[in-house]
Amino acid sequence: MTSDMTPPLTPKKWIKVALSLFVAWHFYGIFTAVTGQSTSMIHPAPLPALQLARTTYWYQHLLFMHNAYRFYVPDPGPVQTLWFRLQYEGQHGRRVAYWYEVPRREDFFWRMSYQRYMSVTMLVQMMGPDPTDQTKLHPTSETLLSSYVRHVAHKFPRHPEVPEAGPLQRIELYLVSRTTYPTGYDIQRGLTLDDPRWYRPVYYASYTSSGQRVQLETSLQVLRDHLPTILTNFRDTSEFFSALFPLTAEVLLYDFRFRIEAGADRQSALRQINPPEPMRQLLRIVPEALDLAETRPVSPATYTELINVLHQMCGARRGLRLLEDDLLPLGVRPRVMPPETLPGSKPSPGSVEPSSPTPPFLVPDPKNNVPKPNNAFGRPAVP
Amino acid sequence: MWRALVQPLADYFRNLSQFFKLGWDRFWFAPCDPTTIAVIRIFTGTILVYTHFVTISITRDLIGAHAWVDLQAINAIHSGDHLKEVRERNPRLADEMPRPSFFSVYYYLPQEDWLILAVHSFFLVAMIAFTLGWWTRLSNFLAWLGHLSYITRGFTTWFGLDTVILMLSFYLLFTNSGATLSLDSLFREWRRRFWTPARGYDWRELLLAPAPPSWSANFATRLIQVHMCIIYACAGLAKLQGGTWWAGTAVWITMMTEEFTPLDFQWLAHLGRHTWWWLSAILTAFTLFLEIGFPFLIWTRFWRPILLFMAVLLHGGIGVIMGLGSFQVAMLTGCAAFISPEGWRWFLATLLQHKEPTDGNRVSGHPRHQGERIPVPA
Repeated sequence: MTSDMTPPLTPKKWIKVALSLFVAWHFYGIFTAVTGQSTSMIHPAPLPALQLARTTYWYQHLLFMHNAYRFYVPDPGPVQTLWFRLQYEGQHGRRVAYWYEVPRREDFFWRMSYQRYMSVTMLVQMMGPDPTDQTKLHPTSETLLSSYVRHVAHKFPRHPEVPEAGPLQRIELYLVSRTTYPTGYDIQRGLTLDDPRWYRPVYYASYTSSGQRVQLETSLQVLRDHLPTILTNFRDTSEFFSALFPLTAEVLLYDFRFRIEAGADRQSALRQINPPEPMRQLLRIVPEALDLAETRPVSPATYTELINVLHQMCGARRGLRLLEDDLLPLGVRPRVMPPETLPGSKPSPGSVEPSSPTPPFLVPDPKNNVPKPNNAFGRPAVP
Repeated sequence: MWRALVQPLADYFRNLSQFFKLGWDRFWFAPCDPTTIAVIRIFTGTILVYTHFVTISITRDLIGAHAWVDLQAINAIHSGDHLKEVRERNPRLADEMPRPSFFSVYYYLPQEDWLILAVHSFFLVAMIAFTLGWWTRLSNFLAWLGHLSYITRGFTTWFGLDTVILMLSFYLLFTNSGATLSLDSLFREWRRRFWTPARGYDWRELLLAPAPPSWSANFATRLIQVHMCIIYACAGLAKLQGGTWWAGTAVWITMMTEEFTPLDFQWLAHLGRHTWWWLSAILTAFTLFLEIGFPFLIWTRFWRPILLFMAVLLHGGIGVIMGLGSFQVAMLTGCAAFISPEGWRWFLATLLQHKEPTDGNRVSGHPRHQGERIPVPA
């Protein structure tokens, strides 16, 4: 639109007055928006700010200027994602499952699309609990999750990998969060970012394809809800037990096993059930769990054994090496061993034989150069 | 006696009010060259186009008939039906809970995917026109409306970028951001010089032709400046509630958030026993100093260039660490409001290798104020 009009250099008086009133009202609205929101459950907004914010809700929402601009507060992380377990009818009463993880980085070429999906999973879990029932999410979150389930049901009306599977029966929803992130010391001890034990999936609810919540049978409720909680809470905290272990054991014992019994080979079975990435990573670390799930009978004993195998093998293969500072509280100051004095390496010319033997808990594994933890000191620290 | 005692006080308040009135007038309504606003328009429009273009493949999932958040859920939340159980347990609490009242064009469309995609495409074209400065007033409104409708329909698909971009595009509505550096100004200059062939048709000269000063350009610039100060103040002060911001490990945790970060920073932990902590503590302190100091120091001539340079470092760093490049460009676009039009003109003329006329900082094309020096907002 072209215009040859020359604008006046100063506005008329009534325009000045109107715009000044607008500025006052607008920034009052912004002020109430940024002060009337809680940072977290332990950092609630002050009551006067909440009451003032009520006077401008309509304006904040109309312009979508209700953000409090609190980026990475009170602390950065953790990230929350969602896992959906879609259950389809199978032959001979055997259900066929498909897992849908949201978001998964590999599914997106553009970063922006991934970020939008990340918002979908994070915003719904950031609203806190229901103020009248702390065991449930906020009513707005509940409504949104039902909508999410309808979306997923519409996206996968039939099993994407098993065409002969029947219609969708129900959708189970898991809220997944990273427990924490490793410090520099944790990484020096040998922990890595892609360690599956960082993830904590929590079963939330089951839904029909229309988004209605359904009550699980008591046995399943115990398996999904109570058992992981009991296992996680009543373990020694230094054992680094993850809620991912019981869930993976359940997936192997039912979803994976049923596909094997239906005639699929191992790779096909895994492709058909499409487990979330942390679960895949765990199975890459402990492939023996797949053998166990294929060969052992489906029983509570096998379930328990699977959990123990996942826990112990993962702990052994992702063991921690001790740092010098870890031993100082115990009054032990280990010698720092030069690389050429380690077992299996040739001594360099002119090197001096160590006067004392290498402490057993610092002897590295010659295969992967990761020291084997000693029972007394080498238990993995809880991150 | 009383009069003599009260008089100085009354004089003081009278002077204060006059001083305030003059300062208010000068701050909000002094005319200025709209080049800064035009630059903000170009960056804002580019981010809008990028944001909508790259998500075309998932548009149906975000705002389609069967989107993640469908209209059934939005209607329930808007009407308060979702608080039914809360109301049964505690009616007063249910009444006090805030109910969103968002607006979106998509709320009123028939839920047909083809229609939603057609409307979305229409808004995308408006955003391209806004970026290029073509029918700028109208395209600015449509770009703002399109983005507002997009994120309120998506309901849970927005993040910090959207609030900043909406803020910028909303404030640009108060002025003609296409007065210069736009197709509108290019066509206007071309028409004006059509009958004077001696001047030639150098496109750079047409594009960089100075626009008449405008009080509305200053008004929009000031709105953006004040809002940016609020954003930084909130972001910085709220961080003081977090333990990791005090411990100096916040930036480290951000680097370790593998769900966001595109690069692997674990190697930093092996540089030395405590090096990672020192590095994180320095970057954390840098972030806090910038965000808390920005609203106060940016108004001083000494600190402004330093803070703007620090903002480039901070947002460039976050872009690399977190992979949120578009969000950081949006924040820097807001910071661009603190660069004077003369600064932008110099930068653009240097970039395009165009020699500015000697009267480049003076009013041109305005019958009453021809040749006057263009005031620059402080």
